[in-house]
Amino acid sequence: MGLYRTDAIVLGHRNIGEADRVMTLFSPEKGKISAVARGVRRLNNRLLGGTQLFTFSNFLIMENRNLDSISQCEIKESFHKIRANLERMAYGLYFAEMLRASTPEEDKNHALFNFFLKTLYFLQEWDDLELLSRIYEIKLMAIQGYSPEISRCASCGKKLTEKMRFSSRLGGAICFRCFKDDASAVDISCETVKVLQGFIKKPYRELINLDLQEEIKKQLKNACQPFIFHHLDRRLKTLEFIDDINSLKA
Amino acid sequence: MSYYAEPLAHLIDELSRLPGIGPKTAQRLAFHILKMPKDRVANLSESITKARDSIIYCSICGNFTDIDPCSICRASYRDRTTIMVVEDPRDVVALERTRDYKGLYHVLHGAISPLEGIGPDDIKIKELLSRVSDGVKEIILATNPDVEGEATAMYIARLLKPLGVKVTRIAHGIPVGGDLEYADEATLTSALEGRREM
Repeated sequence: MGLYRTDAIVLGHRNIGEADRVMTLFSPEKGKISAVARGVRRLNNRLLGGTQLFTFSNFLIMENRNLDSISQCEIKESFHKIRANLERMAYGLYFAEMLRASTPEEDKNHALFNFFLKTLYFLQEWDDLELLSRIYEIKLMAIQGYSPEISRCASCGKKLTEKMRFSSRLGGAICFRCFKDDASAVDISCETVKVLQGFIKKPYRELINLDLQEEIKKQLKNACQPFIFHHLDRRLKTLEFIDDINSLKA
Repeated sequence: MSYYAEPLAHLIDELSRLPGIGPKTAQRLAFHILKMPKDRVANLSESITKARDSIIYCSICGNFTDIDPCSICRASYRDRTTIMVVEDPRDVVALERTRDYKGLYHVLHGAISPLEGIGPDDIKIKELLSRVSDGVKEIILATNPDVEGEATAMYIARLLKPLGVKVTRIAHGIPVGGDLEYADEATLTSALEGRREM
């Protein structure tokens, strides 16, 4: 038992006791960890600023037998612009929940940490949040080792033709010969598959000005979300909040 | 095998269900109750039952009360054109202590928390919308300044916008008695935005 120092992003929290919170942190050196922040719900607590959701801070953590506790923290980037906008906050919560659901405890992954940090920077300024959401979903799945097979048929391995569908269960695009293998597969066009390939290969800054047709956006949503739920084995709670907000706009 | 007599084990079990009370604390409380005079124990159990039986939600503001509507909603001297929206009945007590606010309240009984699956339909937002009639001029959003509170405030503000009522948010910034050194950039930015001339 001792003290250790680590950078981490706050992914979530839950209240315990009178004024404490158990924080879920994502650190490049330690992976996803839980630590208690004592007294953090009191207004003049020193840990208050650094433990807000999405904040990237440097933490001094004391190891305990049961649950580690946060001793000090210093903000590196507060990402307060995300918390100040309802849509950005809702998508940020969705991204954080997806990361939490797809990452086991204490499994360090520098690439994943850098990717998530970069996503938060882009979330502050990206205009089309639905598009960012699709890019994040597919990139996250690729980093986690669940990259969809879109270069050849995910079922028979043969070359894909004009007529194809996307199967979450089989893990990618399937050719017309294999349509019978998954009746729940959704329609997807060659253009959409090319866009998906771009999502995996290109960095965010090359995708920020991407202007897609409504039909492609629709196909991407129909393909990506079931693909994620299939791998995470559950529907994410934060999606309902995004739907609630989108219904207000309509 | 139980180490305690059955009624005592039952008491410990019931006490340990209360928030923040673990098995050891429950055990200590149970032994303390056993040593208390009988009339005090009777008072305690009677006041628990009485509070549970007589306290209801106010049909207007949603606060806890024994008479419906509550004393705040009934008071004739209160400003009926202003409603302050809070998360919890304890927030009403905290604000009443200031003796500065003379309007009405609306208690949401929670905040939107997407990570815990608590959505707008799980708290008393619909009841608030039904209160916003011609007479109401201002809605003050006094939810907590954390992610859940902010999400709730922004959501309600967006719902109220088409109704044309003035919607305000309580100020954010440096707490009284606080230290600038420990304030984060978000707090300092809010404090700067909300600065006033002296």
